[in-house]
Amino acid sequence: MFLQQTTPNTFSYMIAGYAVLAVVLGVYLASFFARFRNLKRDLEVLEEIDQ
Amino acid sequence: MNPKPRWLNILDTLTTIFFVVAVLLVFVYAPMERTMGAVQKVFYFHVATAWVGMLGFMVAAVVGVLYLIKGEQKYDIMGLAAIEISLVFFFVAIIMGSIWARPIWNTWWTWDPRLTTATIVELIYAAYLMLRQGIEDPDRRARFGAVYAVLGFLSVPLTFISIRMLRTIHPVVVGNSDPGAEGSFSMSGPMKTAFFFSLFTFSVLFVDLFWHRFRMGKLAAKVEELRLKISA
Amino acid sequence: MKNFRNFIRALTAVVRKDMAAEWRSRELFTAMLVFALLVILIFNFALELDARARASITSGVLWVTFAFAGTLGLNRSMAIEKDRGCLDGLLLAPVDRSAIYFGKAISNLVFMFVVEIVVLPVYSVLYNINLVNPQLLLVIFLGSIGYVAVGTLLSTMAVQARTRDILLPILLFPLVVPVLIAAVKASGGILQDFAWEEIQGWVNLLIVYDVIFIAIAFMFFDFVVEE
Repeated sequence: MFLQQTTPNTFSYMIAGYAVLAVVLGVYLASFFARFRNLKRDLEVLEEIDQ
Repeated sequence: MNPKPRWLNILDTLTTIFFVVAVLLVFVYAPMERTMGAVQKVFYFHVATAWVGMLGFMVAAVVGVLYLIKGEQKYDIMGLAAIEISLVFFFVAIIMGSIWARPIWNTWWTWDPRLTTATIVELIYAAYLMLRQGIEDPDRRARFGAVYAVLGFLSVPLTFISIRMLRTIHPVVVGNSDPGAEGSFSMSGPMKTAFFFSLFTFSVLFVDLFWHRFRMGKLAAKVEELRLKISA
Repeated sequence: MKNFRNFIRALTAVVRKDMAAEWRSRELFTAMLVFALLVILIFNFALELDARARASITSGVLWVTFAFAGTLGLNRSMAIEKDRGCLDGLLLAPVDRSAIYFGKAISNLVFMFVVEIVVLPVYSVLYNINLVNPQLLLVIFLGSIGYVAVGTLLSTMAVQARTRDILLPILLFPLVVPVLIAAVKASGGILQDFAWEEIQGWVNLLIVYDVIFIAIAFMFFDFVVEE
């Protein structure tokens, strides 16, 4: 019993690691959609001006 | 703008499903590692994001060469798409690695070859984006971007060799392990499943994002062209 | 054979032009030298360069100085070409583009090396450490070659961008890291009187990097000056 190695409690680090992944990817995807939408809007406006 | 292709919709759905499965494999299926505890689970997506990062930089170098040979705009758009996505994933990989290192190596950061090279790679590709931002002429921007992407990719192994001549403590989990590496472990069967499935999932995720980013790049090129035409 | 002679003639013409212009104005050399001395001065305050610390960090201080002064020179030397329209003139000339690249690279190397030759004895006197040493000179020469090989290519790109002044160091430093590491380690070894066998590895690495970087820059220069 006493010889058994104890597993350290590193649970909070795991949460932190995956939180970083979620936040960064989330921000990137959000900016992705925003840029896409803006570009579409720009294109519409520009096409109108062009005609 | 062309309507969204059907295959892209299918790929989106597949990517989502794979991602959910990968998360389940990592958190539910794969067993808890004895000596490191829960933080070991960071490793699965850490390696997967780092892999996607390197993959993107490789793709950027290849399409860079293609651009210089053929001069077609699509290769330039692909190069930018690959580097942008890779920058994000590589950044995540570095931060996740750092969080893993804190309980295992007792420090957030160490100037080990892999960590240092990863940081320099991140800086190279940030410089790539700054270079592009500084040039207005689309043709020249594409040419310089391609040259810098190839140059940057070629310098990475040289940087790694240089820093390698100093000691390393980064564990090599797949392949030959350095006996001096701290925090290395051998993977059991379920761990391997979770690990390789994560790699696979992130590769698919990369392709999916790359496709979206490529479409966005084409749209951006069109907008820029129109803008130049109107202002002329 | 005739091609090769033309190549050499074009190359020497570019170098001669740069040297003549610099001889008249001396603005590049003065700027680089004064800047280098200022950097060394600042390091003196920042690092408390006492006798014991000197032996181990001198090589680092030297290379940081050279790298900073080097970007100043590279940027200016290309900006002059660009602003006076010389670059376009050179490109219109019926000569091999790579002759222009090697000509500019050699001029830049000469400027950098001259600055280094002046900085070394000054540093030796200021900090009471002997830096005038043939082995060290060899390492500095090899390191400068690698630095200038990439630097010339990137400065050609940087001067054609809107953000040219801030762009060069950002583009250049992450790429020349391998050269700088090898150069710092080799010079550090020499200054700490290590056996040549221990330094040899770094010097070999430096030579390999020089060859690789020159080859790469030579291959890509055409794309960077295309109009």
